[in-house]
Amino acid sequence: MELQRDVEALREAGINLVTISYDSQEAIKRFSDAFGISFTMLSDEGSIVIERFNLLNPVPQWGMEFGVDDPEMAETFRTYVSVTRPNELFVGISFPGTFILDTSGIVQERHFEDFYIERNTIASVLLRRGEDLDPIEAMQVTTPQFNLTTYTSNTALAFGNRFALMFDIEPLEDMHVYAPGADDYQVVSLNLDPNPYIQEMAMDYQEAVDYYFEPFDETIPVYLQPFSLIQELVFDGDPSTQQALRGQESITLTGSLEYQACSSTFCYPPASIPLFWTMELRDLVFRRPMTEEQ
Amino acid sequence: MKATTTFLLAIGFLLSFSLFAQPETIDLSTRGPQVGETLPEFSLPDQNGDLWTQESILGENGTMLVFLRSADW
Repeated sequence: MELQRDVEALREAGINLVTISYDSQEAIKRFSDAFGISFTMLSDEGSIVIERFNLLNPVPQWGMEFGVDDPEMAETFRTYVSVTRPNELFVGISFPGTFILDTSGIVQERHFEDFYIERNTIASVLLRRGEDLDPIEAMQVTTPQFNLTTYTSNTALAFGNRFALMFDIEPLEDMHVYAPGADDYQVVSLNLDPNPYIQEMAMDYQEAVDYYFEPFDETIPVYLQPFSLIQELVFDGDPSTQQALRGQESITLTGSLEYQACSSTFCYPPASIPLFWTMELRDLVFRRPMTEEQ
Repeated sequence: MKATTTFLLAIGFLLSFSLFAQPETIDLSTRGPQVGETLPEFSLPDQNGDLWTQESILGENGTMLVFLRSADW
């Protein structure tokens, strides 16, 4: 199971991992035993707590009441429940969401998926929190203006995963890299080559500083100190994608980091660094654990 | 006057019924506790039958609480 694979990284970071679902305690016990789950799985049979959290997904009920013949309803059902037909089994499920709580139980972050099969990977969530992870193979590039280290949040991807490309950039002495808002310059950005199975989210930029550039007598937003960029991506979970990539063992993304950097006295022209990232492909666990009778 | 009031109440009842009966737009941003809020109270059993609350799930450096659709399918 996706969560079990990364639970140690959370444990080492001192973070408890707890799940809640509408399954019976027996079903959770069966699943936990079958897959060697070592984190806490809570049973909310009857969905009382899920409803109290305002996370009860009403779409399965709509599917049962109204059917999915109407194209709009069919799309809603497909997005929030399943690509299969409405079934009583789905009634009572929660929206899949992740909440990061501090030590007092106050919500620090919330992550929801736009499509039922998308899942924020633990690695992706930890990276956003700035937690250290096990070493992941990284690509390092040195330019005359900065050192770049880029890597993926996950070494392996399952269909529907939300993951991230990370960029750690360390400007060399007296160098600055142009940040969003520096309209007359090439702002540091990722130009990812189109991939039909990858959806690009907005780039997460760290806050920049205002810098006075004496040669042009202007103040512009730049990065002077080491900074990180996080590009979140979603690996499509549609059955057609799973079909198209069946048998493929890895996926490689290509693109380039576009940027412009200057020193206090000299401005370099815009430049581009070609990059690539390769991740293994793996399956999501969707099957029901076998019961003793089966 | 009484007939008019009854008629308006009947229209109101029918209108409210039709509003609740029709699927609404899903807005996930309004669902669940927001950033800065605490969790509602709960007490639920885990896979071993032990009970956990919104307080006892808290870890040394925090907690990741994941709502799963189902562990069983």
